[in-house]
Amino acid sequence: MDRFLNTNLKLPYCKGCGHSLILKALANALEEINVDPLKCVIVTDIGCVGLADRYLKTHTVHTLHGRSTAIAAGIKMAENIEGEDIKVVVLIGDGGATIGLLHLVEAARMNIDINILLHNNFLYGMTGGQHSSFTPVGFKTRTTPLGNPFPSIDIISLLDSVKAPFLARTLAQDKNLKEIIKEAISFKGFSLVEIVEICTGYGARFNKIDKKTVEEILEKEGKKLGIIKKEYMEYIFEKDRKEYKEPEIYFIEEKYETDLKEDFSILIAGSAGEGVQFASEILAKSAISSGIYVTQKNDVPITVSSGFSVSELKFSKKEINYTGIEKPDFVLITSNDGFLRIKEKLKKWNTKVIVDESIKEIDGIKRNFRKFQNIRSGINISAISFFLKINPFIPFEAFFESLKKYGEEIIDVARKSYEDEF
Amino acid sequence: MKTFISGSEAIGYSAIKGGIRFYAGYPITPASGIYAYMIENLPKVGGFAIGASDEISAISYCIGASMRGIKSMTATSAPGFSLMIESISYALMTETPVLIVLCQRMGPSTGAATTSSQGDIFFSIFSNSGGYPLPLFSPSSIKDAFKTTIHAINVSEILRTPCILLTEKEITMTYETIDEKDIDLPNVLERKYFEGNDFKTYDFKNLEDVPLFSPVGGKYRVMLTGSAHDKEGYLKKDDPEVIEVLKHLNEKIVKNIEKFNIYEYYEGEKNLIITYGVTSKSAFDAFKKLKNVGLLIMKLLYPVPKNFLKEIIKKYKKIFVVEENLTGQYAEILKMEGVLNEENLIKINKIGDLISPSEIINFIKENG
Repeated sequence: MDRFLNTNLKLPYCKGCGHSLILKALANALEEINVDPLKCVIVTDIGCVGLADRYLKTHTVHTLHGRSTAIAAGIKMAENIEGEDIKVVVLIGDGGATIGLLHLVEAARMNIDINILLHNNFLYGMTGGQHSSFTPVGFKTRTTPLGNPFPSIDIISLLDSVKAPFLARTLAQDKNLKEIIKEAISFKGFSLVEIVEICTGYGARFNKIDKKTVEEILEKEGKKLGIIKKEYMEYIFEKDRKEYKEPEIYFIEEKYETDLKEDFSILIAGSAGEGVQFASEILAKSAISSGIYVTQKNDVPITVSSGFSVSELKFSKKEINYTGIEKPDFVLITSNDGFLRIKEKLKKWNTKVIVDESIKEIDGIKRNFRKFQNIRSGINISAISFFLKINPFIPFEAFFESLKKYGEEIIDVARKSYEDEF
Repeated sequence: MKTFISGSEAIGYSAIKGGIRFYAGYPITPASGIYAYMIENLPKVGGFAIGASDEISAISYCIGASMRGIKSMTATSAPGFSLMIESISYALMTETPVLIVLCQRMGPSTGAATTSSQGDIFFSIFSNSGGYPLPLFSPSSIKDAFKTTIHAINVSEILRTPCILLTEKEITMTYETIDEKDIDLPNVLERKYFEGNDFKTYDFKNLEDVPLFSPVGGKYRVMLTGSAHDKEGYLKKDDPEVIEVLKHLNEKIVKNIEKFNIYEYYEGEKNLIITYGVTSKSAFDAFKKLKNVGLLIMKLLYPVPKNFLKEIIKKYKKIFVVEENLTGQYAEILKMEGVLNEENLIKINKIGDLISPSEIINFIKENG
């Protein structure tokens, strides 16, 4: 025990509290499986359970309430980068397990190789004996004076439902406590041991309780004792290091020329999911390949494939700072959603409009862009191709080349629209 | 050659170049682009990126990984940042470096997810219980994000503190053309590790010293805690050393931050524009067209580098602080810190859309 626990110090727990038994059993278990204390991190939650750090000789991390499991998971996940395998044990109470329940579910679901010792004494001890979500039905606490009316969380069933590979339940006073902890810690993968105990300070104050009544409570709640599940599962985050590759920036070759004289801007208003942003990006890239600076500012509602989608593009021979457009030089409207979005502003702008012929409310150059709606991004590629015919500030080949890798069908849309074949 | 790149990609790219090897995220507009970039690119450099079940898990995973010495980062916007606050305080208290990219969107609560804003200055500065400072940096453009992201990671590592990189939807979700020669990555700085005898988790001689780091699972026994503690990491309350540690947490940041100040300054004559973040771009356009006006673009927002700022502003009559929020939050911070006062400060504010150069020009012409 001495290798892991500072036995010169008196443990801080109340007389008869299970926490002392668990801490000693843990120290003995670690000693018997013969791990190096410096290859072991014990992560403690808030509550009486979190007083353990100073008595331990391992690395210790005392966390926020409920977050012990998530911090421990992070410590363990780092092994996918760092490589060295260390033991990570979490000491958490039923209060911590209540507030941090999702962290337990996630660690179990992802099969993070950490070991959880859940000290369940049916209540929040440190703060004065309030009930937790693990308080059994009928159990009296300071905050359930008539007896807790709600069913308690069965953590074993809950974690079993997300395929936790190792699950056990025992009593703090059970003789096999150390053996169960040993087996859990030795297990490769996520393991949780729920250790049921009596809070001598508060549990025993409000309830007539001893080892026998605890066993009766568990039986009544259908909670079995012992190692309930032990099925080795492949660790999910096996190191998957393919070729080492630094992140790259994709530069665009400048092989076309432009006769752009003055800065200008266009606004493309259409429907989300119809390729407004994509078509704008293709135009932007083709302008860059012609030596122009471009910015693209996008406006969408929260939804992804419904409602409007607006892209604002600015073109200049010089670097652009402000990316907003106060009054666009050209407006392309490719759907009614887009029209409705900019309708009010359009009245103020008095600008050149290219618009799908389905929109009757406004004047402008009209074409049937929407006839290409069955081809992915067809509508907006069509509108931009047609725009390039009217305003040929870059060679059409530049646009064509940026589009090339997206297939014959879309290139055909671009060619027809550029030739004004609607 | 030039690239067409979003702010999300620029931040993700430079974060990896700056040594980030661990990322945990949760999807939220306008930060999701960074999450996507890290999931795609971190594994290729032997790093690890994971989707968490919520922002509390995301920041907790990052803190755990950083405790093992891995440079860690997450990105979110205000609703997610709200969930992270308790854990960011924990990282501050345990002196655990971590970078939090806070991508601002408009309004309180869920607000307007796809509308830009600079409304989270107060929120990020005053997010810690006890009144402890977090370094707050803000890139002034996509081009600048390459520099400022790495700088923020460096400061986080060198000062052993969580750092916030404050940006906006109009940076992360906008695309710009950037010249290859303008991509300028600063040197990467590393956390200082302890070697020797008598290791203490939070050891320091002078209050402003940064304790030398050792990872959990490493060769020295580490005791990390979010509770009040002494230099060894023992939870204590009525002990002079605990008060010393708490003072150290403040001084470590405020006494050292001025040497990590980053900014762009264009000297003028009569009046000065101070701005930051995406608004810098409009302010720069306005500055070029205005006469007698200087421009100061701040990238270190907090703690305020007071000496530096006071030195600069003393020659100007009026100071126009331009920012995209309702009440001029950064201006208020500068006032609170004694850099500006009622006499010289004029705020230019707007919400709902970027402040345009002509709005700045007109305002200054009328009020200058």
